[in-house]
Amino acid sequence: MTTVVTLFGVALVVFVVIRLAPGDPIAMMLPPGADAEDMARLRAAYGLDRSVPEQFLIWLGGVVRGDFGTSISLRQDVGALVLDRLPATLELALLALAIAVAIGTTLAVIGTLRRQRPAESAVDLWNGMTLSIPDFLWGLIFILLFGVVVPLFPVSGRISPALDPDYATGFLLVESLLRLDLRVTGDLLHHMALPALALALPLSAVIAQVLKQSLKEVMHLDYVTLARAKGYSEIAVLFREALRNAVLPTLTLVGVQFTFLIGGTVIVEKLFSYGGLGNLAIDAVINRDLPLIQGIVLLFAVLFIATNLIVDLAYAALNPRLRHG
Amino acid sequence: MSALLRIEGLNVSVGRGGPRLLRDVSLSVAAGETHGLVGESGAGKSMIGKAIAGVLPRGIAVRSGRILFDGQDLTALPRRARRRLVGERIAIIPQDPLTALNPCRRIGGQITDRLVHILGWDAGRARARAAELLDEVAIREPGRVMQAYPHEVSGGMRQRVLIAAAFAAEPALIIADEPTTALDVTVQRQVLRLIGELQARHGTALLFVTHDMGVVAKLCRSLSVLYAGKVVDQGPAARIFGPDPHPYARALIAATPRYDRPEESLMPVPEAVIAALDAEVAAADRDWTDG
Amino acid sequence: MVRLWLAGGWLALLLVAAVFAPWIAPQDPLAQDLFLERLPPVWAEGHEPGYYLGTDSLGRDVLSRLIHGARIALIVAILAGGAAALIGSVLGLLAGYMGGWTDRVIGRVIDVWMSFPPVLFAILLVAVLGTGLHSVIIAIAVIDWTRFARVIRAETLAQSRMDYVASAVVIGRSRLGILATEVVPNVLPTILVLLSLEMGIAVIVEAILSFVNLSISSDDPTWGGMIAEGRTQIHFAPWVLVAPMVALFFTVLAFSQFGEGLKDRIDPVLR
Repeated sequence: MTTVVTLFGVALVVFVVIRLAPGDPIAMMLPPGADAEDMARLRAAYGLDRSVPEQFLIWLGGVVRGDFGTSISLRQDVGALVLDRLPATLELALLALAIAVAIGTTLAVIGTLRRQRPAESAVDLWNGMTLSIPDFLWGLIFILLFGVVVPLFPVSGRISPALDPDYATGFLLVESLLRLDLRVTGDLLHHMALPALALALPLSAVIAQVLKQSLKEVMHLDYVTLARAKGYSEIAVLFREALRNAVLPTLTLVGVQFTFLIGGTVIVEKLFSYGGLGNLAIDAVINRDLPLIQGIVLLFAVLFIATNLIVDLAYAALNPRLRHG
Repeated sequence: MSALLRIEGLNVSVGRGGPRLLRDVSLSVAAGETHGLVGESGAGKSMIGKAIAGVLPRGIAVRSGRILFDGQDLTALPRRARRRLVGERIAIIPQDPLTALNPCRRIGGQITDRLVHILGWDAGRARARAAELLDEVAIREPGRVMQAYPHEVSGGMRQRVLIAAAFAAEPALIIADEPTTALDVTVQRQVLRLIGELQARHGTALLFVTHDMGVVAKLCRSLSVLYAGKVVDQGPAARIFGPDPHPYARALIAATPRYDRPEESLMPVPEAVIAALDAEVAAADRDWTDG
Repeated sequence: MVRLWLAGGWLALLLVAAVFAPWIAPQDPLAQDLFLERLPPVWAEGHEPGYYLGTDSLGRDVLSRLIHGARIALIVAILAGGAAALIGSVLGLLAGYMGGWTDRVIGRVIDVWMSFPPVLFAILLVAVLGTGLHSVIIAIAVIDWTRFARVIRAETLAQSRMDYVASAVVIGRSRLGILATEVVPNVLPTILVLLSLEMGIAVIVEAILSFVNLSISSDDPTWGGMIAEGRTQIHFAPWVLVAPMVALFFTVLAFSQFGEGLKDRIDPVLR
């Protein structure tokens, strides 16, 4: 229920904000010198001749039926356009999440095993820096370092045009893996590496910091000491006994941070000319493409809410105290 | 009779030159015997157990002395070998059953851990053994309890689970670190009887850490009395509980609640006794140079 | 302690550069000279005297643009950060202290706000408000007040349950009076720390908006605009990109480290 209210709020805010926008999208569509009659006809075709509340209700009615309207600048169905771009963004965000979890967990484990030694201070210092620098700047740094100074990675696009496969879904990475089309997989990863890393670094620092803190707390507990006495090595104790308990407090925070990461895809995609939702969104704003903006923003809100939902479910699944039966 | 465990001149401190936690502790426990470690809280009783098992908290370390287990000096063994030896032959029954079980893991796995991962049993055999042990500690539905998470069973039952886990690998020595302190009085007695029975049946040596002289009197053949990390009295229970005990042991006995003679129990330790002990500790510290 | 001084030092340097930009900058930041385009920095072959960090593709002096850019960055940081702090703190205090439906309404609005991708929201707002520095400032304040509101609401809630607030109620002080004298001083350190972090965020957002060409006019020297320009010249004149990146990097780092240092300094409880 609260989800529905939140989504309604998002829809309403976007709708109101963009109706306040100056600049006439219809005028931008037509060649200069089009007569007033043409403009009026087109305006009526997009429903822009009605009052704002009316427009909102019409649009909302459409959304409920799965009809998000027609993009003004691209003259295509908004739903189809957005769904076409969604997989690219989702794959990028999830790859970034995987990288962040891998880096963050590794750092947290190193910092815990080597606590109160120079290695822990090094981990803390690195975390402090990666946490302060946002994804946009990381993206720029990577473009400069690995795109220009040592050109190891491509800095724009999602896939080399020569390889662009004709797949059934937009989830190119997943589908190429399933088809064992490893050349395509490799090329996709090659293109995604820098933007994904740029998105991942700030999140990895959050994970490293919070996970290390809770690991250090757990490592003092009696059952961990008991496990040591059972003959496990320190690293086995950490993975078998401590990690699962320490993950719980980290999980909630990672959920919130992941929504920030999804939000970050907008500018990082632009930076790397990656053909996802974010790039589409910025173009839509610049073209005053009202229906498209609405559709994209609503989709982002759905992604955010879905993330929070998944985190809640994962938390319940991992915490035996919340499990029933 | 050669001792299973012999501790010789054990010194433990916080950091190098930091506060001393154990002062020249020596004691020995024969195979199958029960030795009591008594003292007030903070006397370093638990430190001895942790030093034997090699699980001293970070920053706290053995400075000098030997811990001979079955003739091998544990402090001189390489870390891996020591871990293996301790895992195979020494077990701990911890103090607080509420915090000594991992809340995220099912109980069964926590009993079979040592069997599967250290001794290399196959899972089926380990589970059968765990069920047998739970039966031995009088848990009625072993199958159900093994599937349960710690928060789903009572505190007394958790302590019995921990006892079963300690006996699982037939260790030669069990360190029981105040195993009944956190339990209700009624449950305490059951648990004590259980430990005694299992120990007798399995022929395990027991190092029993407690602050309760009453418990020691029932369970132990010999005991060491600790004050500020120093052994102030040591010997057979018969002597220490006899007509002429050490003044501090006498004071500890007097401080034990006795329901049959309430007017004689719960006496504070006399100040003169404390002063004498403090002088003894100070004298020991004067001779001590931190290697 | 060290980081507080280092960060503070960089920010002070930036402030001096911003205030005295016209006197410090060696060249006119807007002057184009097609004969001087893409000059390398002074340590490289082929530089011209007076153009210490080289020039961009229109022959404008990079260092002078950087110094004037600091002005815009700091104006945005102070005004947008301050406005976000003011709106967010007031709403957070109200929600936390009043409770009831005030809290529910503000909480709901925060939920809705947090469901927008912030960068997209900012781009959208600036597109609506029209490009220009004032739109950038308004957009940042309108979006980022939630960062303050969420934290301050929670802190206020905790504060209002304290005994000294209860005793102030008992002796008959007015609600507003209690808020002002008992609660606000206790949440003020948090506000300051968040403000420092927010200023760093504001600088970045301004750079992002300039980068997508939505901040002030592209002639004016902004770090984001320089980055956008540098991005196109990356293979011919990398210094055009590097200079504003380095400035941005240290400024953002300084704001966040200053905030963290401040946190350790003023309030050990916050840790």
